[in-house]
Amino acid sequence: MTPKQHLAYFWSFYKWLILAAAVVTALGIYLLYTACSEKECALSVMLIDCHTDAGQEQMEQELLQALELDAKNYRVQVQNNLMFAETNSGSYAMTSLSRFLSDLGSEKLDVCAMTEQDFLTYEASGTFLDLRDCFSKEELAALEEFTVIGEDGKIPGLWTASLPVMEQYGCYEEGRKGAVGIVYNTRHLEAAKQYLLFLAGIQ
Amino acid sequence: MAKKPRKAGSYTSPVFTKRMYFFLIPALAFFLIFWIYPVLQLFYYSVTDFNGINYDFDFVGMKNFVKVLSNGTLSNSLKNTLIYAVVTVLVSNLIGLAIAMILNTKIRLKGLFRTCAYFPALFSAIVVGFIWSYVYMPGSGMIAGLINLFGGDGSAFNPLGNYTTALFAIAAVEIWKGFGTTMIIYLAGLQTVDESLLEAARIDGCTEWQMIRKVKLPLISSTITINVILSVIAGLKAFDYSFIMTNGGPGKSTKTLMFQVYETAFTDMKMGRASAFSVMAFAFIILVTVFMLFFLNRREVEL
Amino acid sequence: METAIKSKGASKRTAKKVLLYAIIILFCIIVISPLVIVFSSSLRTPGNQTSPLQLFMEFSGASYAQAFKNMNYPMELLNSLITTAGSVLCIVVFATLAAYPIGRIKSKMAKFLYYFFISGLIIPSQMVIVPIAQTLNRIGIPNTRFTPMIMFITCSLPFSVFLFSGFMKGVPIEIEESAYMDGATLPRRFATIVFPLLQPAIVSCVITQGLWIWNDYFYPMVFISKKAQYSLPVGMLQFLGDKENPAQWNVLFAACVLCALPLIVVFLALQKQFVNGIAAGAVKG
Repeated sequence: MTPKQHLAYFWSFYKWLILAAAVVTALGIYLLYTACSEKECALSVMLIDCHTDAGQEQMEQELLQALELDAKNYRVQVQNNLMFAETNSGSYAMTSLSRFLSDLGSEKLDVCAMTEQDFLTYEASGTFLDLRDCFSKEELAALEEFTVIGEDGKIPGLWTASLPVMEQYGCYEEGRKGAVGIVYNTRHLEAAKQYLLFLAGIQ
Repeated sequence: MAKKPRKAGSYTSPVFTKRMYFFLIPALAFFLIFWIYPVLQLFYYSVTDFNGINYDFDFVGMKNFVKVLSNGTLSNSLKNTLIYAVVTVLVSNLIGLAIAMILNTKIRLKGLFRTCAYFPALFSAIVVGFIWSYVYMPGSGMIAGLINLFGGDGSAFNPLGNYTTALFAIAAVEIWKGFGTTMIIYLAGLQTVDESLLEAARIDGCTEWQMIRKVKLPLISSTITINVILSVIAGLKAFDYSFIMTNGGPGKSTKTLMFQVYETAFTDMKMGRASAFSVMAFAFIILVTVFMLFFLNRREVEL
Repeated sequence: METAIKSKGASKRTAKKVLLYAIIILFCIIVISPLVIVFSSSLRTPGNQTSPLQLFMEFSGASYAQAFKNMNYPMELLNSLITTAGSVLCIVVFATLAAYPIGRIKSKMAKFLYYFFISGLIIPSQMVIVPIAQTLNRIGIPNTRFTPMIMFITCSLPFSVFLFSGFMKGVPIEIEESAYMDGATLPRRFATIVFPLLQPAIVSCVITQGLWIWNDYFYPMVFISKKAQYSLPVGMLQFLGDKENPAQWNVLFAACVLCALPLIVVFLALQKQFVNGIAAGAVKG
């Protein structure tokens, strides 16, 4: 048989196998490519139950600028569409919760904001860092008015109630008290600190 | 060809060599890495006091298992899950079988009816749960509205808010969505039944009912087995509708096994205990499935 | 096909027929009614809050337009299509490959593997999602639009392997033995003989798994970060999210219909194959 006939013969027999192998290889290459070319994530933020009207892209852009990061090398991630309590749909809450816990477990989450009740619940499980260990004395003094005071004077986070940037985005308004804190296993402590200062309008 | 000593029932023709095991590699790789390994991790958590968030936990031995067995949550959710599974499997299979039998006779517009029956399966579970929350809503929901139309009091009708009826209400939703598939499988099973056998039975003077019991059912017994086993597994694993429609309430009447695991893990922040719970739940499901398989296979062989 | 023997009284038979028709029609009405309400509500303008029981009050495409725009329908449709098609293709090939030794070799190992795969059915995905995310992270797989595909393939394997190995037992061995005599190699025997004979089961698998994968919102929502990469069910879920906007119901229903629309189209077009496919897989197995 000529090579061409050989090829046609081969194709007619193994086409599905070849197609599947092609799909898997394409997927593998795509994943590898995105893994390598992905800009390092400088900060990952989750705003849960925040009900903001600002879009995700807008928040990310402004955050990049505020942190003075080069957009070519870094990216930030702001998830503002997750909801635990403010939704009628149990599925939405469950999926948001799964999302939160998966990111937390894979050490991909740096800063998290949630409603007061949830915040205190998670704080009791050791989710957030004590801000006294993160910030210097001057910075703590500047943040004084916002801080959440826990037992033994521990400071797990900041109230969102009067954080200027939060108000600007319309997060946690209308009597919904929220709090924001740094996750205990964050890998980007510096950036997280900068973010909290940014939220408080201190720069 | 080398002669292999023949063991009864285990003779493999030399056509099928051990090299065939290579074919398993892609499937097994995916399955092991992305499913079995995480599940084993989950089982490992069952002997720790992991709270779901903080990763410095300690080994606590069987404490979680003891706690789960003693505080009554296991028995409550077992009861709910069993009721749910029995109701969905029975009703879904009975309705599917009945409709399939009716559709198997000579009536027109079979295709239309088949489509109607299968339509609910095409929508996703959240949509279905949402629609039915509206249907059940007291006062202005669909059923309440119909009651109002017929002169009754629509606002008194609240299946999802009632402790005793909530479980059955969500079972009804699961049945609504699932019976189309069972019906189609039964329809196909019925169509493989030889007409001549039915003819012979009719000539012998069987009534319709006798024919169903003694002739048709035994002939589709393998279809029944598969349908029942799959519905049982799905029913015991039920989680979606408890979550979407009632969130375990009212009280704890709709907390199924998996829902309870979820709640213990993520709402009560006790991942270790939830893992212990899930180990026991899985053991239970395996037991039930094996038992049913055994039972149904015996019936199949006898028939 | 008229039977040769007539039962007593043609009127009795007609009465029975009328009864059957009545049951079926009533049943269909009950089954379809929630969906009719969804459909009629989706045809109203977004703000219309009158009782949905007033069917087909208006015929406006406004809700659809809003849903279409908010969901970024074309992009999400494409994502859903590629993810579903790719996953289903891989599942069919992987599962048939795996079912071949399991269905043919009669050894303890094969039996163990059969039950091993089936045991994967028992565990619901919501429980193991955190370890799965950690594993993916450890391997280094990022959150792209196609990451959920890995999980779709993994979760479909138990059922698919079960389906195909059951079906495989119904494929006669003689054909393969004669091919072996003719000198065909193992891959060749699989690709040319076994695979085509599995076709009814393949159709069944494609339909059941495709349906599930298309409608799944859980894995995409956990593994996709950027809004532009969402698939259809996730986009639809966004409408459900907000407690504050009950006026959104009409738009939500429009979004539901839009999400199910491709499936409905495929179902109506391929009705015969659909029904035969699901059935064949289960009956033989």
